[in-house]
Amino acid sequence: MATAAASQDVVLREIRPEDPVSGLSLGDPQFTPLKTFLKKHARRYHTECLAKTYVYVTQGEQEKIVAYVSLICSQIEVSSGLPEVKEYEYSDLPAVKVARLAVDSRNRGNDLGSKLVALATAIARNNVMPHVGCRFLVVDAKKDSVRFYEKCGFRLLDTPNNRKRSSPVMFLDLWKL
Amino acid sequence: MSVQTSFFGVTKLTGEDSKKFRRQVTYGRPNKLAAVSLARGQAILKQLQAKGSVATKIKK
Repeated sequence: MATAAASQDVVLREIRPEDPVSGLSLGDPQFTPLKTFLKKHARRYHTECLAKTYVYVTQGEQEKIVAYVSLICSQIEVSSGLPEVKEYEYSDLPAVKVARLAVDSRNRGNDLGSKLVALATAIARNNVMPHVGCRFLVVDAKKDSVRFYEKCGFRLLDTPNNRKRSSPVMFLDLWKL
Repeated sequence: MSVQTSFFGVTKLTGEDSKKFRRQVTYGRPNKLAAVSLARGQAILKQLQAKGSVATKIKK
């Protein structure tokens, strides 16, 4: 006899000053900065409009953040780097940056990460681009996350130099959506 | 050629990296996966703006 898989209610919303920010388990020391950011900075940065953070929070007796994304205004500077080469027509391109994205290791496989990236794309495309001018959504992806971002529509800056970085630059052209 | 980025900083591209970026932007076609993600995000954003939150269920 088949049994229904146990499920849990979660809610997506903006982070709040009273949110509990400990207990996020990411399963690998390389992700410690993501935990530290959530614990020490995310709530204050959100309040002070330095970075806006959206969280998935479990419902029930004890709320717990199980995934989050933090977005900031950013810019892509494009230059030849060579004094003898004429600079490109546009050297400073406005962007929104996916500055932080994390999903609790016990809650992976629930599509929370791709939903948060989808939300980031919609915020940049619908709320920012038409009103203030913003051409790109950009992310410094972990190497293991490059495929994940490609599935979300990002393109890898396809150079040997970028591919060998620990966090390769990926971007999404909002104007072509 | 170089790529320099930081959390609050800009993404700085020079040399081959900037040339490639320029080419990818100039000749890149609309991305179907991005369009799917955008449509999904727009539905989430609509609910978020209307209600302040979006409820869903996940596997335990």
